[in-house]
Amino acid sequence: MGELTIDNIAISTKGLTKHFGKIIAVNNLNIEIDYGKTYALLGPNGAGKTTTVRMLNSIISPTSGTALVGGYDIISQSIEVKKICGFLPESPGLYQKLTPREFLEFIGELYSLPKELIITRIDELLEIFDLEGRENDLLEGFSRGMKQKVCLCAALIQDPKIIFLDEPTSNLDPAATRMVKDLISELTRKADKTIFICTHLLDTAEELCDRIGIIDKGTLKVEGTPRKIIDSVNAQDLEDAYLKIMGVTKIEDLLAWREELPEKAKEKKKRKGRKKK
Amino acid sequence: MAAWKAIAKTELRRKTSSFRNHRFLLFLVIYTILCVWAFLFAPLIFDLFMPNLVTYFPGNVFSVVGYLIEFILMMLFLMIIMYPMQNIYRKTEVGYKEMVLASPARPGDIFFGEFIGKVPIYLIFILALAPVITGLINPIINLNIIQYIIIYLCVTGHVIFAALLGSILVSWLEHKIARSEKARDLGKVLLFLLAIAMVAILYTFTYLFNYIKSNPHIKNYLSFYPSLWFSNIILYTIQPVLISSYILNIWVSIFLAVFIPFTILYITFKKAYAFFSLETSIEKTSTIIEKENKFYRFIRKITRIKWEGLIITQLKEFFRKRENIMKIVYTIGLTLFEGVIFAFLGGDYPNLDTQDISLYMMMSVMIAGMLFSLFLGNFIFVGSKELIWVYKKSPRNIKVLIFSYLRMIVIIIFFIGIGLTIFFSLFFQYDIFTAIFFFLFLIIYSLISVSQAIGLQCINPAFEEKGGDMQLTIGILVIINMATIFGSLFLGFQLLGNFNPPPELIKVFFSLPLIIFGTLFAIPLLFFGLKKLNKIE
Ligand SMILES: Nc1ncnc2c1ncn2[C@@H]1O[C@H](COP(=O)(O)OP(=O)(O)O)[C@@H](O)[C@H]1O
Ligand SMILES: [Mg+2]
Repeated sequence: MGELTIDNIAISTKGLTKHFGKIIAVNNLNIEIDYGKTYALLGPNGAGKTTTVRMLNSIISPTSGTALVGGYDIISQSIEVKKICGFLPESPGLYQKLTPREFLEFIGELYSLPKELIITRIDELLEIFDLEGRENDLLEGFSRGMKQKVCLCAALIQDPKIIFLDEPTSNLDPAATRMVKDLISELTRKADKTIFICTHLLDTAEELCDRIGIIDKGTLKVEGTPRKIIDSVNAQDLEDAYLKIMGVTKIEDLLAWREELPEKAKEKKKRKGRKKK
Repeated sequence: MAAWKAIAKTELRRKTSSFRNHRFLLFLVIYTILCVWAFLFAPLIFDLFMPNLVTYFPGNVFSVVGYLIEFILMMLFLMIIMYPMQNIYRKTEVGYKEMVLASPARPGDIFFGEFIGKVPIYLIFILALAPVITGLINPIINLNIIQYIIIYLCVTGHVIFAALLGSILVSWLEHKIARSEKARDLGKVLLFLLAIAMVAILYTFTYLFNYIKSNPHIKNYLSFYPSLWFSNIILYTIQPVLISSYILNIWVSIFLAVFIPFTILYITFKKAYAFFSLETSIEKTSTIIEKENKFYRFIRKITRIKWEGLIITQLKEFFRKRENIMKIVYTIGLTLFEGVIFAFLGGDYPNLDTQDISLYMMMSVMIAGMLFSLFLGNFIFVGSKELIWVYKKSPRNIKVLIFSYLRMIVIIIFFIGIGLTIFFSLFFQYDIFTAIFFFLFLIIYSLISVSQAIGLQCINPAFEEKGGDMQLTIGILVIINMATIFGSLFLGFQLLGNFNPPPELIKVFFSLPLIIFGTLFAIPLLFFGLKKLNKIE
């Protein structure tokens, strides 16, 4: 790929970096995603996925580097970025004392959508997400998965071009997970949306995504189509490839702590300390 | 290791988590500073100004010092009871408790352990407070070593007992909260009742000082208040006559001060299961809202389209929380109560002169403003931190949260203001101009006061699950309000003395300083608060 062209690249990051004090949450991230594609950022907990999407949505500002989202710069054109992006946060941020309908109306107003449009979209979204019977209950009584569904509606209500989903299926039951997965593939196929998913669930990534990036401790380890990643490390499937790339400990090591005697453990610690030096 | 010891250790660790790498150093530094204060600075300072006090109150300096000691202990007792209450806002604490409960530790161990874990922190209170008491007394009579020991023992008992009561209260509330949402409201209201009691004591002391001095028997109504048992012992050691007017003589005081705390400690240790058994199922209420209330439709009509939905959202979230209705009731009730009390205490009601009316007007507005800031402004973020991201993600950014909240408060204050104005107009027989003046003054000052609270919250936000310390913000707000009121009273009387204005202008001379001082605090707080909030991560 040569020059950056605004026409066909939805998201491109340039040396995107974020520090929280001493912690380097995201380190020099460079990715490019075309319009209409689905991209998955895979990684263990604390890898920096949430931090990345928050930066791409102009919610927090990067320590260094920048990114173009939909052709807009996330630092200097943050308002435009926010207008064209939808964002499903990792844990639902909701007003507990509102009903789903009222909350979605509120979100619509935050994006300055016309009133009639808000109302018709709410009806449609509530129907898709099977929340129809509960639309007048206060959100405080909802389960986590139901709250997540409401947040998904909120992410979609402004009909964004680019959609960021942070752990979209982590709290959902199998049926709802299926529904969300179908929705994602429909959105890319029929509505030509660009979708950016953060997840630690390998099957979600493998099934839905055109391209996958694996991130660990803030650094992007590999990137490419699922097939390419599997082949590159001679693995059988994505899970195997992921474990190989992350260098996860062998099964025998996992239970070693039970046999270890206190003296031995001390010795091991010493050895480790020496190795570091 | 006994279970309670492990729990005590964890408790201390959790309390000092922000200094986790230098815990030992932290306590060393704090205790060293406090010892220097106790044995060097405090005696020096009090030796400096006590002789003045002695000449200022010739003859009865003992009773003045006596009142001061009683008053300090009363305030402190409430403050220490309130100290553990900040936990009530944190949801995560309940999760932690669940884990401890899953272990074989018994409820008594848990309670005792958590309490002991806090003692090093309460030691700070003791070392800070006792020198003040001895410093007040020492310049008048030279304390001997026995008297020193008794005073330190009393202060220690007082602080630890208050801490014990606070811990019991909090554990009980957390227990209730775990079982019902309604109790959560109760806890929040309770915290405010205590804060208000504190302010009430402060006011009572400042304004009723002479009255109490000439009618010492009214203190007998407070004999049940534990800090008096301890202060009685201290007063008796310095001058037995000081407590001669009480129902409680020295023996009863000692008995209560020793017997009650130990009995309570024993009972709670034995009965801890009554407030530590966490029910697994947190009761979930399901409320259905079919149709929008008339009130909201009315508000929709009077607000501009651009803000309508946001303000309605804030209003719904606010009014559907039951504790908020309580807060408004308290605000109105306390403001009315205070206005009436001042009018009667000042003597001449209903034949008040313009200066009295202006003074009482200012005091009422000041109280209303402070309550609004404590009750409304302080709660801007008590919700999930995730909501901050919702606002930050939207193109309208986080500032619309602040401004829609402020607009909601304008609406609430407007309606409450009408009610208060009608009452005070009738009570003080305001003419129409005075009534309008009062209404505007009330609204403007309340907004200024609320802005202070919001600014402080932006700087040190308190979210449901984590974040700043609500207790600290309340403390700072009370201090700001005290500074404002005393500054304004001083300035008001100065202006009055120097300019001798016509009667119609007296109220301006009292209200203007309040607004000026309030704004002086509000603008920087709001300015830096918004800046800080923009950078929240
Ligand atoms: N607001 C914050 N303040 C400080 N550190 C943070 C903050 N948000 C995230 N981090 C840190 O950044 C790292 C990456 O976190 P995150 O992006 O949430 O990971 P992921 O979403 O991949 O699980 C973690 O080490 C986390 O502790
Ligand atoms: Mg995450």
